[in-house]
Amino acid sequence: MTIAAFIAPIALSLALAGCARGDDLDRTRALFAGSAIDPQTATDLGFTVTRDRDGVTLSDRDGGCSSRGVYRVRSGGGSPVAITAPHGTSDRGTRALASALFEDGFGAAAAWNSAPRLTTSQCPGFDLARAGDHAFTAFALGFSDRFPDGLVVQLHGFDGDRRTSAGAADAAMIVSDASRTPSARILDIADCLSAALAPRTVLVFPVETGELGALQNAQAEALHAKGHSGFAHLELSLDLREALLDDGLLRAGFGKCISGEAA
Amino acid sequence: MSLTFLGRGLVFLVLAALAGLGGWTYGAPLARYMVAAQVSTTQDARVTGRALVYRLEAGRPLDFVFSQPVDLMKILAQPALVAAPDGTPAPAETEYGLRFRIFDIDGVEIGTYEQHLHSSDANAMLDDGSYRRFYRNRAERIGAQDQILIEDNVDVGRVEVSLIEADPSIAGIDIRVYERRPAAASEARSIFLRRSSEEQGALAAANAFPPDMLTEDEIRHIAVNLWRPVGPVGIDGHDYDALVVYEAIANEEGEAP
Repeated sequence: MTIAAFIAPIALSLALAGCARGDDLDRTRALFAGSAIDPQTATDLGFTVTRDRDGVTLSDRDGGCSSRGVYRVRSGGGSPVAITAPHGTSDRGTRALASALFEDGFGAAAAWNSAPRLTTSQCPGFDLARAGDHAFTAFALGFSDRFPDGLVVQLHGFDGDRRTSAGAADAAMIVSDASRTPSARILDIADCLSAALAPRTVLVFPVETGELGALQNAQAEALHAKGHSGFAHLELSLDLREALLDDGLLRAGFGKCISGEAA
Repeated sequence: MSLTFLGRGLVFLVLAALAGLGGWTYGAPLARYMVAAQVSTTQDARVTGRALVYRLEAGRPLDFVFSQPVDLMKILAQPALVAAPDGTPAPAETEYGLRFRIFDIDGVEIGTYEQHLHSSDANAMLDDGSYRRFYRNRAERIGAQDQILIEDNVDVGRVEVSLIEADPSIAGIDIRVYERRPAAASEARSIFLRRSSEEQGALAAANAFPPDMLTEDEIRHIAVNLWRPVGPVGIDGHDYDALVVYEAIANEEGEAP
């Protein structure tokens, strides 16, 4: 077996995973740090650029199993919040929820995965939330460059039956800023969500539960390393995801909380 | 066998590369951990819990509709205390009265109960003078909590809670209403066993024996007596005000949270 036999699958895997070279990551970060998307740069980086009434959408030109992700950037700004769903399909409803919130007018940007998190018959699995050297992380960093006080929100889904504590199993949402010392900002968001989603239970990690705190989250690590504290990791039960997708009023309350419009 | 100069150099380079890779990978997380650990040991108080409550004010009753007919409900109430206009702190002892109108599932009033309560804030205070329960963004203090259980042999569909009297130092009463969680007898064992050992211990605290020595009947009794919160009817900020109460314990060097 030659060296090429070893290298080829690794290279293919990296290519499918969308793990870009360092300079591409820097360019991707700069792309999202600007107040407007430069279509030529986006195209050079492998995205297909489309426009709609909300702004610009960057989707993976290679399609299929490629996992650069999908990014929507609102024309004219919006509240300094990025609503993201790194497991948009496997965490059922989170991609639809991120999209619905963005189309409701919340946030300046939204993003979700383009390739599945778990391996399928067609594609190898790839977990964006664990990928540090990736366009998805570069997007988060670029967004924080553009909005130094902005908030990157990640929507996730959890299955209460798989939780080890009854508190987490019964919760509608677990809120974390991916640290063991929750900031005043994340407590403000959690308090707002508690009221907006009442009487559903909103827990804060690690104050009320020791589960699903996102301490290994790649985007949170990158933002924290940069000194940016605006990260919110929201784990939603399936019931809550379905309720938010079905109920525009409930979703509006949720959107106001994460965008800071409820105060 | 001894290494040549070149061999030693190669070994050194490999080790240096490994050290550099380790530092690159773990340096930032380790630094953050050290900072977090330092913060956690120097914070004055540690938040241990949060609870959503609903503010009850004079002339503004709150309606709670149960998810299914109930014969037993639990209400937790605690006064929010304010200083007098001249700055005099709220007295340690306060009194207030609540009225509960209960309705059946067709909306027919079944009965009215009044409860007059006496509250002290002494047990809400930590040794260092900070408060065990507090609002993060409000100056009010929180008095001791009362629990009211209402049992009726008629199926209750709704309860209306109103504040009928309160000392001047009481800005409002924060209440929570609970109904029993529906649990089929066949589910009782799994409901209990799915909980962590700490939670099982807490649930079985009233029993003389540890959780692993409970009988099937005792497990079933615990499972069917679990509560879940009920929210008021209406929209937050319009029909009611929802607030979050925090609970904290002081660290060894603790001061007010």
